Amino acid sequence: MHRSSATLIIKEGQKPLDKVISSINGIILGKEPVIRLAIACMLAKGHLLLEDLPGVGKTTMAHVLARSLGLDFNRIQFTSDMLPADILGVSVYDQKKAGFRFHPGPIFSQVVLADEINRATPKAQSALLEAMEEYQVTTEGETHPLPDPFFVIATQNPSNQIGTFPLPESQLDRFLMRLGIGYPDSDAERALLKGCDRRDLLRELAPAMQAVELRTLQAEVSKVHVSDTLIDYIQALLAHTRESPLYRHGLSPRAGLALLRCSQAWAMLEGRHHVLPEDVQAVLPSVVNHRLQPSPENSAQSSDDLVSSLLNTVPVS
Amino acid sequence: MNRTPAAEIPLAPSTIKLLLVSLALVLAPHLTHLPILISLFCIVFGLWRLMASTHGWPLPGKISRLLLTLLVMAVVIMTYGTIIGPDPGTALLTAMLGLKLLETRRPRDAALVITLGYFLTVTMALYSQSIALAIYMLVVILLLTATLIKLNQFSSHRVGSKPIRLAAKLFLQAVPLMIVMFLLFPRLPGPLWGFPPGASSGTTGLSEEMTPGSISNLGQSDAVAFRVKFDGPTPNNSLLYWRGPVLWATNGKSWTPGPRKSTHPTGYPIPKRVPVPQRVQDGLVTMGQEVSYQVTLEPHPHNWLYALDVPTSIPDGAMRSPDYQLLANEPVMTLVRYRVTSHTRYRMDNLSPDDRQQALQLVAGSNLKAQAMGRKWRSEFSDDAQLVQHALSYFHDEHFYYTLKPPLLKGDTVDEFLFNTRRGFCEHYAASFTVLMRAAGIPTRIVTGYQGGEANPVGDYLVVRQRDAHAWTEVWLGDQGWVRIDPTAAVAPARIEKGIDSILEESRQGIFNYKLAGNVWGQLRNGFDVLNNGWNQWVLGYQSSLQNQLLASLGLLTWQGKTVGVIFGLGLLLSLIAGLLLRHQNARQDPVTAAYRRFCYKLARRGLARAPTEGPINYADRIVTWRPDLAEEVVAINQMYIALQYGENPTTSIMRRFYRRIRAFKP
Repeated sequence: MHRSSATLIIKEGQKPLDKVISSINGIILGKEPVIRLAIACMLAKGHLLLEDLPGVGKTTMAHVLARSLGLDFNRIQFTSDMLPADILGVSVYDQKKAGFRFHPGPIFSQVVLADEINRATPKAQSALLEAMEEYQVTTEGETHPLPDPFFVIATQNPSNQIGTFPLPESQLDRFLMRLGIGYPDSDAERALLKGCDRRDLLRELAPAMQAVELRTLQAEVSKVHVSDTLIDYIQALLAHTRESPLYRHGLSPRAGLALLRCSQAWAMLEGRHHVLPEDVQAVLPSVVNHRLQPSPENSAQSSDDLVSSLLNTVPVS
Repeated sequence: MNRTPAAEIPLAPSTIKLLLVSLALVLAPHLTHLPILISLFCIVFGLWRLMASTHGWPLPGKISRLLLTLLVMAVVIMTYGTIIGPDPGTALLTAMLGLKLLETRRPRDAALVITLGYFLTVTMALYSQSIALAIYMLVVILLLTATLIKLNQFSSHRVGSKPIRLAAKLFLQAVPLMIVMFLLFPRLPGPLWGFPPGASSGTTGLSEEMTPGSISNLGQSDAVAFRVKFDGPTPNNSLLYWRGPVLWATNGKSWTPGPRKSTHPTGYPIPKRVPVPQRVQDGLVTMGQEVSYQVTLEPHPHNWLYALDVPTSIPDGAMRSPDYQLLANEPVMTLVRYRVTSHTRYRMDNLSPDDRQQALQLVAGSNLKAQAMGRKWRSEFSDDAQLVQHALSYFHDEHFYYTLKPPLLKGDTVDEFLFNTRRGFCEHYAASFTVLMRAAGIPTRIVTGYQGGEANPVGDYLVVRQRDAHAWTEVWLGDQGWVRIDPTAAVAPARIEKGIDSILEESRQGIFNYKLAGNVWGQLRNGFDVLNNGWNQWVLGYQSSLQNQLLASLGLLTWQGKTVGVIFGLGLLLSLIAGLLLRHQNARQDPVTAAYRRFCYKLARRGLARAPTEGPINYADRIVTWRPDLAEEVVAINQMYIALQYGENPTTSIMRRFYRRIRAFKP
């Protein structure tokens, strides 16, 4: 990524992050912008939705993220016959204790990869999404806290495929970012074809950071300075989506908060202690594109068009 | 990306409805004068378009539209015989607008329709120029603008508020411009286009022919003829004779100014032009105080200017006929305002032999009984004045009644009136009195005009309405010259003393309690008339002469001066508005942003403008790429800007350095 000489102010706290990024870069080739956004999402304590065609490396990406951040990892393959208990866990009668004992489901992990989330029925989907929001699981009157940090990285295929249950808007909103991965460019693809199996590399990958360090960085994100001028800019962006007839609905206050937190995380990744309009612009497409729909008169526009028109319309300060 | 251009997106039904509503409002005032068929066509086309958008009715194809166009043209040509001129033009424009609706599918078409709508709104002014219509036009323009805004809303990215609010805002911003254009836009003397005859309210004025017995409902019209503002106190009601055309000739039934003068193309004689002082002296001896006043005359189809008997000064661009009527050079097609002075005490001493012959003219063989009575009186009285007195007491003592609803007269109308019906109004009395006098050998002429007027206490001026129209006579009494004799006064003195309202009041009393309702009504009407008068004085009356006065008072006399003045005035106004808007914008900026803007501006002049959505780092990077020589300076300024604008603790020392470097910055 091009960074200008004008702003190269590297801070000490950024070094572990650089290490994380470079170690992921070694496995997922030529996708640094996506990796940085994914890390920003995790620094902002948000869940991530990866949406792309099969085979572009969604699962690998999720796995590598967990691994290099030193987090434990569970994968749930969503299917259409899946039940909530298959995700959350189940209470089984224990004869020795003469009572029910809770067997935690695969969701009890620091990073959960919810693979092909749109293959499951809405019932199973909502069990996962509730846990994402509450950071805890409640079954049969008992509440079980989820580990900290806790991330869900869901993947989904573009929803026009047969036999899928697209996530409703309200549930898309639970994901802080939606990212596409896209095809690698030809150099990266060549390196991929010539190199060794990614799974082997993954097994050998050493964590670049401990979970405790990640928690500290997460706490620091919220301390990245946000000036009034920047708040003005974010408010102008939100106001535009609410007033312009291009959009069916404007962005919610929750979306505004999400945008702010991601911008702070991005500023930290850039090694700054304050947020600049560029940070907002960098994260805005991923934070906003799953939350904006075109208005009925304007249905020909894709969400990418909407986002770029938002960015190209609202002036900075 | 296959984005559809905004102009090609089909119109939303809500936009179509708004468009149709605004067009219906445009059409409404035209319904009164458009051919019924054209109005019907437009309504049908509008409804058709509505059904097409709500119920999916098909719109006509190319051939049907062509046929409809030809049909509409045919209707216009059949109605007017031409398609040129204000009336057929308006009809054609309206019809074409209706037709255009049938092929309005996209915003581009709708924008054209709205433009036509604006134009059609302007044509309303061809038919009336009242305040009410002006307000209505403003509302229509507001609505059309709102429609235009709504039309463009989903194609434009920057939309602030609801269309009607934005339209109102735009409208208010345009008001200063409107005022300046109103004051300075070059005005031609006379209307730009020829008003069709009867287009203005001129149909209700006096006519140049008087036929007693032919009308039975005079005096009912409340339409304003003119308004008068006196410099001093208003003269007594019995002196308020507003002089109009003087009628000399009769054919036994009708009275006209007569053939004694050469005839103007419009049908009215032009008097000889003589220099002013001579005209003022022209057989006229004035006595007592002069009365000066200003008249605002409503449009009417003749070139008569009304003035208090007898005018002794002549407004610019007017002249005075030998029988003391003021005449404009052109028919009074638009509202005119003029200052006159009159003397209510005077002697008119001019009677040429020609005049004498005219003033004695009678039709042999008509109104024989009246002529016989006139001759009989002559034999009884040798003194003219006594004879006149006798005639007046005849009207007073015999059973003559003043009524505004006289029976129609047939045959020898004067005989019929004098010896049979004996019910009539001023025309009857003036005409029969003149016949009697002429038969007795006393030169007599009929003067038409207005008598009295209603004082408007709110605005302190006098309103003369069409129902104040009057006819009286002047008789030649040798040594006294022409003497005004009003035979109506002998019958109904109240008509002259108190004005026609006293007569009208009686005839209205049967309907409802006029006095009680009249008080409230009168108040309202006076107030409203003040409004109308103001409108007339300051808006409609603002014609080329007044504009010239205004420009002259600004020292702009020549047309070059005026042009420069207009351009300068507009430029000043526009830069004032721009300045205000920019100041408004700057006022919200803090000094750091303002300084940064200056920095950006300096770079913009070197072709390195900042895109409005470009953040500071991206901008600095771009400049450094393009102009590496500026790198050091730009990077330093940019770092300071970021620290000040987005940093955690901006210090005043950074701020001072920031300002200094921006001032010194010379790309």
